Amino acid sequence: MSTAAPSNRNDPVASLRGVAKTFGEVQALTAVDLDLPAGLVGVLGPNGAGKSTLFRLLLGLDRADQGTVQVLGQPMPEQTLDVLARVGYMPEDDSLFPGLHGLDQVVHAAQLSGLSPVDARSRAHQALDLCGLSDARYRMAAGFSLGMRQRLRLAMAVVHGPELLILDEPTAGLDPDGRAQMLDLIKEIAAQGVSVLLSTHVLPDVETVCDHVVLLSRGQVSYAGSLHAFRAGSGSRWRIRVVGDPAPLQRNLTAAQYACETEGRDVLVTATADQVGDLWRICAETGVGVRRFGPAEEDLGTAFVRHLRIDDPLRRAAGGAP
Amino acid sequence: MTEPVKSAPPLVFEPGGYAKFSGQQVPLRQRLQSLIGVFARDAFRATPAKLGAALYLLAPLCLAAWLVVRSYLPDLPVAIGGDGDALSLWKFSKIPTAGQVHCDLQALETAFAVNSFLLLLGQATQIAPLLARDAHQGALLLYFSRPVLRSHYLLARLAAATSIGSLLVALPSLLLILVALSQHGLQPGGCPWPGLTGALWWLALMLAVVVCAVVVALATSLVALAAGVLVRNPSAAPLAMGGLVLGSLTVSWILQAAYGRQGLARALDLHHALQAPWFLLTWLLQPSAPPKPVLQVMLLGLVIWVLLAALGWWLLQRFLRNPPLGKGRA
Repeated sequence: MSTAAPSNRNDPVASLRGVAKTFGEVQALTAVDLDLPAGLVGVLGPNGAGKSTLFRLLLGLDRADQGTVQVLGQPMPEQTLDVLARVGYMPEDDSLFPGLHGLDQVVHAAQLSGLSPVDARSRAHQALDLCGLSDARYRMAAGFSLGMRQRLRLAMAVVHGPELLILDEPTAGLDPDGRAQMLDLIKEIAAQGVSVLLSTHVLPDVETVCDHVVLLSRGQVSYAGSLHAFRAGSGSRWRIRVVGDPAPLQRNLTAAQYACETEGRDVLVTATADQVGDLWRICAETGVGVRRFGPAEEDLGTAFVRHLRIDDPLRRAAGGAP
Repeated sequence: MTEPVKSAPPLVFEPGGYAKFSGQQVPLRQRLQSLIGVFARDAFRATPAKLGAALYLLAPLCLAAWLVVRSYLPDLPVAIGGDGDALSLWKFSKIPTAGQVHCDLQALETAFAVNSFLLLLGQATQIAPLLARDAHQGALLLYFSRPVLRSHYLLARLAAATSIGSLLVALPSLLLILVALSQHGLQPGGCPWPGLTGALWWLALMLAVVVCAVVVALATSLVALAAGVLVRNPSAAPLAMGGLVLGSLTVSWILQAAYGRQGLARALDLHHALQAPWFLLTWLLQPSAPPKPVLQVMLLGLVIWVLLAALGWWLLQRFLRNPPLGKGRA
């Protein structure tokens, strides 16, 4: 079984170097260089961006046409068995072992991951308790609701205590309450030192749980870094938090031909980086105290679209310059 | 002082919550064994499979009980063998012919003849949809995203199907041999040698039963799984396999009717071709027993069957190299 030393928290949990993968005529990934850090990482991208291909390469289900893939410090797919024993995967699809009840699903998953029958059963009970399926453990899984199935798949993914958890659309199809429960669970698991790769189309989920973001577009990495930097905006919009009433500052900025608006005690101004000095001058002339001055963070949806437009000439042409 | 009651906690965690696993992992071979166990239980999960297996095993049990009871009745002694061919006790998974057992067991014998055919058909149709079903329901993705070799997955499926199939084929025959031995000792029933040699001969017969049962069940499983992989539809797979068996039977009947060459026709009929290993081992144990032309024809059937199984193996390997790991529909 796995003899590799536990990976350092500062090491990337997965690294891709010059990875390319083609399916027939379709270029799924093109020269991808990427380090996925430990922690909670959201993998974003429009449909067909290459997220599923990325996960398949990380799981050793496919072999890259070019480049190298390392997961938990081990080359893939050469060390697939060792790596998969340390990885938990929750597929996007409605996948379950046929004909088993809830507990047996998890026990089977644990045994496949290398646990002894006794350990598997004991861990399966714990995993089901963790995922809130204690009352349903002896019910046939085929009769579970969608939310219960998602939680069951999460229990199957974590039952063997993985170091890396790959979750493909874990909140797909869940109602708001179920989504909140699922995200709570993911945070709870990540808090125990498990690195999580989370692929989702629900951007608020990423905002809720992730520290880092990877944005894939047309088989390439558009952005990889912290969530904060991802939302930091294009550098053309600034947030000024003032002491007291922001209205005088807004009036003066408008008079100086800057587009601006107020948001509570903040004034949001559109200006280039060269104009920052001028903004400070207007603040001083207005006589307001400035508590904070910095780039305005975008909501994740806006940031998502902006990053995609940077890479995609078609989107850029359709939507104008970001 | 009491704690205020929280209105709706998002989720109740058991004490301890999530914890990393700190135990030992079992070796790959043990994982394969557990996989075989799960697949064996999987094969018996459906009600028709349970019912079929129960009926198949119930018949020889009833017969064995009947033979034991009859042996205590002085007016109707049971004389198994007699004409010098003990092989008739077990070949084709049938009971002794009515001529060999001096009581009216014609109806049971017919039932067994039908059973031996239904077993093949039943086993094949049960096994055929398994791979297609796993692919359709997304279970393949669950298996292959765990530390499980693809070859182990296939081996486990084959081992589970083969062990159940061979058990069902071998058990009735072994039971009848044991009943015959308990009733008549080593000598009656066609054993040409007395004493220890005779005992070894009987032992060889029983081993032959097991070997033949395994060959039959393995070949059936391979072709059935391959049929399922070709069709890739869990609902259509049993039809495909059933069609293959019935089609070969029909060809055999047509040839038989047209040319009257019963043996040769049967070589093309997969149901009867499965009897080839029995004939081969019969001949090895007792070279004078089966007529040579029949043996040749049966061997031809065995060759056809082995070729089909080899083709099945190749198809399964191709399937596993690029398995459908797409959308699951549990």
